[in-house]
Amino acid sequence: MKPLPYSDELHQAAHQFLVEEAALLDAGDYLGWLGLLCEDIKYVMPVRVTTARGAGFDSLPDMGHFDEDMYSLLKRVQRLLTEHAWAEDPPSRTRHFVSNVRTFAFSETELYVESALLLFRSRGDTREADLVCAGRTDLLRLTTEGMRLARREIKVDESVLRTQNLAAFL
Amino acid sequence: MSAPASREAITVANEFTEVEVSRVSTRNGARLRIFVPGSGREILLCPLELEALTWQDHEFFTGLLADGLA
Amino acid sequence: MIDLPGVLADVGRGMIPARIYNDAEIFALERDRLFSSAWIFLAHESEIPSPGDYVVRRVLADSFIVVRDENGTVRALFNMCLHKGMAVCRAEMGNASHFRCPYHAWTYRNDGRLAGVPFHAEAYGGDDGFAREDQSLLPAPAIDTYNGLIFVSLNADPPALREWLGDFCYYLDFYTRQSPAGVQLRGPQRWRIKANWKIGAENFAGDSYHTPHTHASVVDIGLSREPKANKRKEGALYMAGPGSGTTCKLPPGGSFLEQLRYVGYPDEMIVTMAATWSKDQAGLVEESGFMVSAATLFPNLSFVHNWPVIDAAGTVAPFISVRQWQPVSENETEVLSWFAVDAGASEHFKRQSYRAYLMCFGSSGMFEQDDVENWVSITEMAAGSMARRLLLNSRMGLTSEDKPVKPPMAGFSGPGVAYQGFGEFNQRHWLSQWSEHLGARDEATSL
Repeated sequence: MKPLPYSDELHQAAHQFLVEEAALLDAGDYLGWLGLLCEDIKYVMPVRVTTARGAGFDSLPDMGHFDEDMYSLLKRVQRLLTEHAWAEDPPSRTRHFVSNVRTFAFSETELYVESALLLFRSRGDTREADLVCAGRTDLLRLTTEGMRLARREIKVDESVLRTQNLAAFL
Repeated sequence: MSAPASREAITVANEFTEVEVSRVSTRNGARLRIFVPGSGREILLCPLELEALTWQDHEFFTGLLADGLA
Repeated sequence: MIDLPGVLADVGRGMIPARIYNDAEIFALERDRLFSSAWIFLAHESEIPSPGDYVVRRVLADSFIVVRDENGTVRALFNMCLHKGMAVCRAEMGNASHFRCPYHAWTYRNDGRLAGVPFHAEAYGGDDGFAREDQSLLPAPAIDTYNGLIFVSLNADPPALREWLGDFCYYLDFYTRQSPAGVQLRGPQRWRIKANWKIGAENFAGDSYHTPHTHASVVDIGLSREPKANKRKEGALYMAGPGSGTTCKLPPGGSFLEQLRYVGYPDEMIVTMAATWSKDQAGLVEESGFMVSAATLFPNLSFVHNWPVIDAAGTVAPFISVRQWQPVSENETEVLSWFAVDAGASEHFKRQSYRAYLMCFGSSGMFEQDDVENWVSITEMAAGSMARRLLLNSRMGLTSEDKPVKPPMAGFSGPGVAYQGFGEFNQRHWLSQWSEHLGARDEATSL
């Protein structure tokens, strides 16, 4: 399948959706972010492994960093909003950089969107900042309320993460 | 080992024998399974062993066949 | 130079020099006197089920190929070619009957024996110049397994594994032997944290005291089965052999079946557990009324068992995690966290248990997130000169005369010594083993 031209309105809308989503996450507006997800959201991030080029797999088939639905994402968000979520209080300063966006028309109401994500995460004043680099494949659904995220697969580019936890969304 | 379920088995046969060849996945990799239904014998060869077969000529196999199945 | 006898004396009286959590000299001693001789976990047999399956794992800087050879024997081979020292396996997992070094193609059987040297006749003059016979990738000096957990020791003459594990096996079975099928490990998730490796090991060994505050958020959101985190003070802490752990108090008066139902096990698994565990082991649940929670096997292997609420319908699903605190340096640790589940469990149970694991522990787990934040902070604080003047009070549970505030529990079903309530008995037990290693002469460095 060929990606839609950058001049295509659907591509532009998809790209804008991802940028707006990143703005919500960087602003810590997690409830706003949940509002962008479909009720049947599947949000997965497999564990990557170093294997031979010919092995035919480079992630574990049965283990992820995330394998979430709306309930578990809601719990993660609710936790961050309590007074006791020390992992993010004081909060990290984050910047979600979204680029290399390619949009594919999948059906009348759905788009496949690939993007590259670089998360910059800085905590405190003495620690080195963390970077998490990943490719994402999203299924965006066109609903009466606008575009919504229905599926996200995060393909992280490290087998050993260099961030102390994933108290962040990618 | 008891071989995991084989997939896409290819049968190679002539008037003297019939052999099934298939790629089997282990948890961490893959091997080629060579199975002889007639005898029930099998061997699972890893890619390096298969490469080593390509270094042989038919004399090598003649030697193997000369010994027969001990 | 560090005053080691002084440090160990302070540790011995439960006053921990803060610097041990971020000190290059201490780390060098840990490498030379502890990791050079203790039994260290590498992998589980379920990660290498078929002949030729291998994973590559480390003990500090030493990389090992953990492989099941063609005869089914599990081996740990030092991953360094005998010729020029190249890493023979650079993928972290795969399947091979033979390993061929990428540099000059020296080739080894998957039991480690050297099989091939290119141009052996021309380059070496055959066996006269270099005899291939009896050459092998260096095996780990000692290797043994318990319930499929593969341990190695860099000391060629360690105590027998089963003997060393001793009474801790009683507790280890709750995590790794719920049925004759045994446990199956998935993962690991791996990530690096800027924390000293000892902090996680101590925390899992016995710190039920941190739960009410550190993990308040998971109670707030209804993830925890227990409505009040301070219920942890009713749990028992036990020390047995080289391990120790925490337990949670179960509702009073429940039968074995009721108690295991309470933590979310389906009946068919409970029946199997009853048939698999000894009467004494079942007694921990039924007679004493405790369920195993976190535990650490010295030095750096931990376990956790928890039973959160995983959906809006209120389903309670238990999970087990096995985790290793792999030291990178005095201020960095690689965490390897596996999801563990009874291999004989139904697919439905495995799915729910996996979900429970991901929600609670591992790289994204909601319990684990807050733990790591604390440990990184401790490590950071321990780096400076003020930390060298500070002794951390780790005497909880002891009076000024070194007597326990409360006596050990009488009639506790498990072996070892158990105390009910909060206390730092287990952390001191862990640290006393650490002191024993650091205070010993480093005989293993002559390897």
